[in-house]
Amino acid sequence: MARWPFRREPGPGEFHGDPTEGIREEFRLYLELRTEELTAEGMEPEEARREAERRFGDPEVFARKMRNESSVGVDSLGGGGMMGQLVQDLAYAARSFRRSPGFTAVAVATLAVALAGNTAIFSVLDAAVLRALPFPEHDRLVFVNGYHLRDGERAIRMASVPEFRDWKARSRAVRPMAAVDLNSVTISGDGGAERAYLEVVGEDYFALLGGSTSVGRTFTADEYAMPDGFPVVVLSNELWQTRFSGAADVLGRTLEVNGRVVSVVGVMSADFHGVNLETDLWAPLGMISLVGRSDFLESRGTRFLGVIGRLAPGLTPEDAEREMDGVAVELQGMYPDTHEDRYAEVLSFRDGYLGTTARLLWILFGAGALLLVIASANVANLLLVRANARGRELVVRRAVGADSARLWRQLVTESLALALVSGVVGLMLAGWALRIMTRLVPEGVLPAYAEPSLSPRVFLFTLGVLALVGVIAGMAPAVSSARRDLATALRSGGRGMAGGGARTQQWFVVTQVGLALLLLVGAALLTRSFQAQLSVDPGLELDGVHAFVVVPPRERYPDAESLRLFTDDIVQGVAEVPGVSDVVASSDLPFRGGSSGAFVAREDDIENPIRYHRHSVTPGYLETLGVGLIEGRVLEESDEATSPGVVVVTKAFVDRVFPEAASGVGRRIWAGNPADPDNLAEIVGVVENVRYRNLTQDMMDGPNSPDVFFSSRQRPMRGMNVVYRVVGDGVQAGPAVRRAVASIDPQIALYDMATLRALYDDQTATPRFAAFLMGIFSALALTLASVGVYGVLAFAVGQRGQEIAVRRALGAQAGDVARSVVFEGVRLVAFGLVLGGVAAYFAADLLEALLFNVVPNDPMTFVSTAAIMLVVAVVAAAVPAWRATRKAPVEALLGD
Amino acid sequence: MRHFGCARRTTFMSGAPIGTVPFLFDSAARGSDMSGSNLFTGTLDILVLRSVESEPLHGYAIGRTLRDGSEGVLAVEEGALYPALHRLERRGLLESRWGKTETGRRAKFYLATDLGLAHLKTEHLRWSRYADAVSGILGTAES
Repeated sequence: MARWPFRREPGPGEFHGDPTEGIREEFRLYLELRTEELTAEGMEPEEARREAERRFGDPEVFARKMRNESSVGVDSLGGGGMMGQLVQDLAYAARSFRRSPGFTAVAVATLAVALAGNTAIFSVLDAAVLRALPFPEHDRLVFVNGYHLRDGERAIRMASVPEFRDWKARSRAVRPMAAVDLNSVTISGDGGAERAYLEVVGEDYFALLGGSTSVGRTFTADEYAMPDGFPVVVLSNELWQTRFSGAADVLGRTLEVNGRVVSVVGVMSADFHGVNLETDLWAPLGMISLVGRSDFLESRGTRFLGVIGRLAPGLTPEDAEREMDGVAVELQGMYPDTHEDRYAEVLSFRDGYLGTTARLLWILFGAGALLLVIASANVANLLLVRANARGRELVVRRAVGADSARLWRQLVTESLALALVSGVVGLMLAGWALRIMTRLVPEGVLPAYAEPSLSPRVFLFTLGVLALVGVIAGMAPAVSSARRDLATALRSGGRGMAGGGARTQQWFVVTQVGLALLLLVGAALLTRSFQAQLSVDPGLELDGVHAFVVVPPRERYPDAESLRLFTDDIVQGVAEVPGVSDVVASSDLPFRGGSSGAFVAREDDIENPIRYHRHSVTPGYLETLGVGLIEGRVLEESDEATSPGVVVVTKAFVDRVFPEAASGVGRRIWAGNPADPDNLAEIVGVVENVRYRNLTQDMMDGPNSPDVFFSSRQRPMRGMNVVYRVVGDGVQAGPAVRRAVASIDPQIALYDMATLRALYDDQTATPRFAAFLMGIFSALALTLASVGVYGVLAFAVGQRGQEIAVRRALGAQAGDVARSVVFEGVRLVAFGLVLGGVAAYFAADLLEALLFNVVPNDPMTFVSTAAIMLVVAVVAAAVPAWRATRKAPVEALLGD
Repeated sequence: MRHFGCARRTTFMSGAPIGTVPFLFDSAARGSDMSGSNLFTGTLDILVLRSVESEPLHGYAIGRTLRDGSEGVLAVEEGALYPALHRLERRGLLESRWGKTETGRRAKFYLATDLGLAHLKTEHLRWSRYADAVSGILGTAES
């Protein structure tokens, strides 16, 4: 261009592309020339240099502004429209994040972790609690559970067939009703023996659950009704595939169920797994003899059926239960023998499947949400501090006419961009978190239909949460900057968060501390509950005990004598395996369930029977399990089928049945119908109480329904647990044990191999899971809250640098300064703790159903968690406090 | 030590005591609409453009022109000039190139572009009208 009187020189940094190089050189030249000017006016060179620098101002600020202006300035060129602005805002946000990687990393990591946790929990909650159950009109499906009310306890939940018919005929609220009996059976025939779940079902069952066949048909009215008339089954899709390779000509083919030959009449569609969610095959109620006896169909007192039904439109389970109360009273009048104290409860499918799991999941979800709030507060705080550092820029830009909506948009865009990046990272972490979580969730906590996954629903949820977090976290600095006017901002030198901002920050910290306390209290309560469960003495020697289950089929082992022989054979066969010792068998095993409840009475008082748990065991069983003998003797080989009936009972039994007696040995009881003299048995020994069924509930259950051990020779068992100790590594004994069983009867399936320790661990798995997850959440919350406390104090110290310097200059000791900073922190935290404590006091009640031996509002827990928070807060305050004392007075004054 | 003007306790339009006047040099380039509430928006732009209207100057020389021309009234943090230069260049009102000072030191020189000159002309006109209006009112009030 002709107007330039000289040629272009190469600029500094032009070749290696550093734009700041040129800026610095410009500044340098200015300062040199200015110094020369001042020197020429008579100043000393050094003084002149300082004066030049003073008048110039902070070069860093200007350099930064020049780089910033390069992007923000663009909009003055009219770079068009909303989209254009959005792109600019995003670009600006990206640049500003790149410039402060530390801030960005903290914010992204914090949010991402909280989001990952939330997403994982939501996917579990969604799968188990929110999503539709795999049945049509699932909201109206209910379980109808009969029960006896004895000693304030609900017992014997199943229904007998005649009872079910009476319910079905009388109920208007629940119709249709259908009966189903779940059994674990051995199926054999071509393809070897295996365990399978068989549902013996009544009419309307398939229609009620919306089950349809893909091949063949379900059952006919005759098949349902005729006892032992039609040995037919319907297969699940899986069993059809595994056992018949999905053969099209499966209809009419046969297999054996518990040794009885049955033929296939249909295959269910792939999405149907029965009301028990894992059923392999179905038989009509008429074929109850596959698992029991045909006369069960007429016996009013033989209760084994589960009952399901559909609520009439508009009715709730409570409505139906009220109706069932009326039915119960009517039946009590008609059949006083079998219906005394007999009622029925009506539970929605959802409640039936989930029990307390729903509450647990909601609580964990709530905990995750609180964690997210705490994390968001931190991000908002960080944004606030940053916005404040740019406070003057923002205020001035508004003052010179920058559209204030535009500034808001930019702040929110920035935090949304942050949230978005966190979201991407969070979702990547979520897959991982979900895998960990599903591994942590103990077996049986989630119903089988619940398969948590990162589904589109979960994705949408996370996206929604993200948007919310982004907008809210971005609003905070926007609101706070909007509140400040030009004059205030300028007066405070552009650094102060006069009023609004600082107050907002403090509220964030108070909220964080309060919420963190809430989570800590929850975690502490669940942990204490877990510890309480661990400290329960099961009364057993858990280690080294292995067990498996076999069920000799009725066809080949029809009577008591054959069962006795089988038991002897199997105990002897397993005992021959090297490394195996102390082999015994029992009708059931601690923590595995399966003991049958029955009623027992004192010999001298048959009018008041009590419920008890019956165990048939081989001699040596109590020794193998390490149950301590208190008095008398244990069961022995000499207690033969033909010798007088003997039992060993727990101490709880004696306390309950013979409260007046010092000793139970020698007492006699009716263990069964007093009409049969064989049912009279003498107590020969008393053992320590055993946590047999459930580690925690036996507390209440024990005295009400104590345990009685019979000799398996006198009370033979069909399904049995074979229990043994293994010297050394038990895993290696497994195959040899299987071979030993196969050599006795190759048609028998051996299943549920486990150690007693593993069964015990399952007992504490849910509380461990709950305590562990809450522990992680609260640890994260504590960390985030302390970061918040640290942040606000560090900022305050930075703000008050001048004040602190003046006070120091006026003689305040370092200790005084540090104390005042720490005090400021403690003040905030204490306020948060009070609010959080009040909230926790009420929220703790939500946990009650999940707690064992811990009261929700346990003062110890509250005090100790609050103390932890306070200590952490003081530590978090210590760093800024120390920094405040390090500020040299003069330096601080000049720095301002 | 010499101070330019009354830097520390000027009473400004709002009546609030202020420190230095950073926003004078800081005026975002958006709008130079002087009929709006932002009285000084664009003032610096005009002054800078004016100083490099006919010959290229480096930053220090521009600053010096401004200081000398205003007799210290426009006292500011002197470095604030540079962001303004940068911005004007970005808007296409100035162009720059590196050259040598009389003493042979490398410096970045700025020169008004045609667009800059046109801008200066219109803004100058508006400024004069504005100043006349204000003087008119002040004059009226005085008499």
